[in-house]
Amino acid sequence: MAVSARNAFFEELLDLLRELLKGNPEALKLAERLLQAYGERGVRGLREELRALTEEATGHGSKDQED
Amino acid sequence: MALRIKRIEVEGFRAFRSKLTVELGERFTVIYGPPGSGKTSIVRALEFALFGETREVASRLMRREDLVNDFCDKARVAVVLAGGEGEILVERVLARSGASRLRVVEGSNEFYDEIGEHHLRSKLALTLDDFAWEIAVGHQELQALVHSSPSVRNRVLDELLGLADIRKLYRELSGKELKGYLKALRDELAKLGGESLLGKYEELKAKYRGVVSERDALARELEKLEARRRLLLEEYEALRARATEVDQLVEERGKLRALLESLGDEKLAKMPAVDESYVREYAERFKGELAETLELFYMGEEAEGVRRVDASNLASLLEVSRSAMDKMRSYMVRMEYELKDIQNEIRRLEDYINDLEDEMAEIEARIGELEHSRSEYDALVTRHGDPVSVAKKIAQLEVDAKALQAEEGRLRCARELQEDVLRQLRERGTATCPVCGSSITDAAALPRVEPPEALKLKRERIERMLQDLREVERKLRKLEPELRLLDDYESRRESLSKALDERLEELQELRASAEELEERLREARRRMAELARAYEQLDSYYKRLRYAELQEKLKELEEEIRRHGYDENRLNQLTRELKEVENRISVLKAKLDMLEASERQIAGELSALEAAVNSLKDLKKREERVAGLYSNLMAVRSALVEAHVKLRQKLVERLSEIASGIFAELERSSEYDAVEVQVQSAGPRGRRGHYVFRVRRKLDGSYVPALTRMSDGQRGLLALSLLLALRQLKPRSFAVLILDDPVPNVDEDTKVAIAKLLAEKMPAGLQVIFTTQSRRVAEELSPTAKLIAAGAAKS
Repeated sequence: MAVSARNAFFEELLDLLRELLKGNPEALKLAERLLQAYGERGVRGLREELRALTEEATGHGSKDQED
Repeated sequence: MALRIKRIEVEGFRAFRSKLTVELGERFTVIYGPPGSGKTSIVRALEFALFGETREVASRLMRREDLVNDFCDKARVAVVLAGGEGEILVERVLARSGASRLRVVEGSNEFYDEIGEHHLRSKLALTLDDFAWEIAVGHQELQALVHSSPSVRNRVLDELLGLADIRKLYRELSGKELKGYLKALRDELAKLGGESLLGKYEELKAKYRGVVSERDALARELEKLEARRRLLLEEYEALRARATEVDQLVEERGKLRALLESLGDEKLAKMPAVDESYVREYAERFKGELAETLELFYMGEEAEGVRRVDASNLASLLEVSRSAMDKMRSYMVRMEYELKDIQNEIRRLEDYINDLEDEMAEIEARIGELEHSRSEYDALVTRHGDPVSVAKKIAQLEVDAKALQAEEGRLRCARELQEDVLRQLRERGTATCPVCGSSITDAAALPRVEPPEALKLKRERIERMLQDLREVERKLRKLEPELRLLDDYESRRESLSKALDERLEELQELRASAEELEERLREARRRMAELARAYEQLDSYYKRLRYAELQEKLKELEEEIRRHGYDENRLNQLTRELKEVENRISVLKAKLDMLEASERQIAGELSALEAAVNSLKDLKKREERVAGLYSNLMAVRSALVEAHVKLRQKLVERLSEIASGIFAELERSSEYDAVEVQVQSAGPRGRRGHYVFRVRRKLDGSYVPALTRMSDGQRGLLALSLLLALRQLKPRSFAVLILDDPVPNVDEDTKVAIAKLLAEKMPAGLQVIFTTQSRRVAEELSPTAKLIAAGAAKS
């Protein structure tokens, strides 16, 4: 998929998610953050973002998760 | 401008041992040839050049080294791509050892291996998977589109529609790791006690606050009580000091009160006052009656003692009277015992008399029975004489009977002899005398012999008399013992009668004594009851008089004590109050000690729980944050599912429209004329639904499920229509479409129709390469297409 087409696809997807998650701003914020990570850095970026979010929630580093 | 393929060079790759160069047409190329002519190998060579492997190698159906021709050491494929800023040469060499080399040349730039791969990827913007499903599509891929399971179909169509990213996002956002972490946190929370620990902590804190509050309240109350006690004590001490001055008076008053109490002061206080002269008269009467009663009952000494007492001295009179009355009661008790003894003796005598009477009755009965025997005996004696006379008569009769019997024998013998003589006379006329032996000739000379029958009758009469007398004798002998028994009974009856008379006389005497004693006892009781009542009354009068007297004295004493300024009531009240206050202080102190101990204990427990609770709270915060994140993630995931469905629906509308146009041209049986792709809405538990293909039946214009109604060939055409529609819907920067004999199981006409459609109806910028086994297709397309005979190329 061409870069412009890909961007258009993500924009469209994001618009849909905004519509669907308008009653849940926190989830929408999360969706935007995750979609941005995926759009910019692919699956790896998405995983990194998820890990960062988990660390943020637990207040611990990756060691906790390993535990 | 989009990229297309200009030329392919193949050497040592799969079926191509020697070098082959294929120049492709700019718009439409047909590669034709029989099976095994190398049509597909050309497509795979292109795949190898662009991606370093083929779909068979990627799916492990083939080893990479097997791509090298059996008679060569290495394979080489070079592809020249045109378009964009110029030509790009992609050359890939694969040694039998597995080593490979890539070279990408664009203008004056050359890129090798990894850098070359990176450069090539950026130019193509394709993966091998994209290439297999969108660029170089064989009949297997098309078959998969319509024959595979719904999940595979979903994946493929999502890929082709450009929705694969949503699938990836959905898969990555499964939240499994987060859920695992959440579970671990909750497990840890549960291990620490969770809500129950917090509840226990809060409960303990509340209890601690309660204990502290209660302790403070108690301490305040205690303080107030202590102040009160000090005040009371001061007053008490002052009163006690005055009390020593009136000690003797108080002591005397105490005695008086004790005396009053012993009299039953509460009861007496309620009784009316009594006149002293009346009491004295009453006492005199009582004394007289008591003395009279004592004398009546033979207690003269006691009566004298009573008479000697002065009736005005009530206490003395009551004492002497009580003693005399006690003696009288003892006397009555003795009388009662005596009466009981007499009554017992009467009962015993009555029993004895009853026994005698019973025996008497029995003897009377026996005598009655024996009287008959006596009458019988007397009658026999009267008639036959006494037993001795009877015995004599029997002896005489026996002698007579024996004499008669002898006489009878003699007569009988004489008659026999006479008979014999008579017979001899009759026979011989003469006979010999049997006595003297003389001869007898005349019968008349014979003596007369009496017949014995008369004697027999007499003897029989005597024998009957004898028999009767013997019977009489037997009866007399039998009756004699009964007569003796009767005599005994009569003798016994006489003695019993005498004894009975004596006992009855004795019983009468005893009864008279008992009656007299009972009368005396009744009289004694009556008198004693009256005396007792009188005594009680007198005692009551005495107590009332005494009470009045003592009360008078007590008043005088109270007055005296009051004159000394001593208030005993107040002192008593103070004592009681002090005691109460001290008791309350003691209770409060004990309770306070208990509360303080409890406070220390709870404080210790709270301190011990503090660390665990802090840890728990921290964990709980983390759990809440993670749960929030997980919940949001699940919301995002659900939204993605919905977005996915919406995007699918949007895309399949256009896809259906384009595919319908293509399908209408290819479907030569004219059975169906339109294609519809539907997306089922999301199912339960976040399922994303799947694609459904339907076709419009010309016959009735209704849409029917395509996969269950159509033939294999029709399904192949449907799949091809969808693929071509997808390529139009989603243009690629690599503007090439290779169809490797896409629908082999259709007739020649249809194949020609497919080829013509590809040649004429595809978008202008799209380079189409079509491989087929049909020579007719090649011949019919020759004016518009570049033709390549695959078999020739292979050789």
